[in-house]
Amino acid sequence: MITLTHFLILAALLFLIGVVGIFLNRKNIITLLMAIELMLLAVNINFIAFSHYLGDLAGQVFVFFILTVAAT
Amino acid sequence: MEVLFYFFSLILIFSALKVITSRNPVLSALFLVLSFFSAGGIWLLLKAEFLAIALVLVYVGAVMVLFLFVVMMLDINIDRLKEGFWDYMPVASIVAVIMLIEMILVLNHSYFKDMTPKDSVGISNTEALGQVLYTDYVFPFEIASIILLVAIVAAILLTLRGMKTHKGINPADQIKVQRNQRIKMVKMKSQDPIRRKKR
Repeated sequence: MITLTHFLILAALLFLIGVVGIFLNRKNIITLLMAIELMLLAVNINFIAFSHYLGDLAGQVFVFFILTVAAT
Repeated sequence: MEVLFYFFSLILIFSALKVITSRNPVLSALFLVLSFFSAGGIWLLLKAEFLAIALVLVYVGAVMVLFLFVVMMLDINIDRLKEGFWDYMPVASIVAVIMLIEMILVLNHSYFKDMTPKDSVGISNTEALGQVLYTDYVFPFEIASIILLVAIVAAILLTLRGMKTHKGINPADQIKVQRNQRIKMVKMKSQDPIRRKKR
């Protein structure tokens, strides 16, 4: 049985990979941007997991806006 | 569901690690595409079909391809960039491990474990999202469109720099001007009309 904790820990791992990527690639702004994208993806996974487990669509709307702003 | 979850998670974590450690920016962009794709699979498991498809179509299909264009067009000296790559690894790993411990302490609570997913009423995810997006969240939606418009205008203005459409004078060029661009020194023999008459 996959619980909410599984998704949250997956998102936490992804976020930490993003943090380590910012530390490692501090000379290369393009890879830095990619690490920030990974952190945004982790946040989005958190939002969608909570939206699914709480039965509230507001989280998915928020992910929609995050994707819009990150795409600009 | 468990098998699919672990399958997508493993691919996601592996490709994310490759994004931050690979030497070539093109390779890390490609691995970022892979990690977005597997994140889309995880979103499908969470019954967020619309966002999963939007992630794959818009994010992978448009944004990441543009990103790849930019990365491939720039001529990056990889060896110089990778100097001292692992210097900050001790600090980074300490920060990461502390954050991981903190997050596990928070997330391991039974509040999250006992939560069961609540299925939405009979309509599809896209329909439900649209109904919410165009009623309750219509004002943030308009603001998002204005943000996109501002981004387009800014991008055009930044890239329009080299174009010359008028005959106005650039003040920077006026200030930069040197003496020898304005004055031309001509060497010639001096002429004395009076002395010539005496001869």
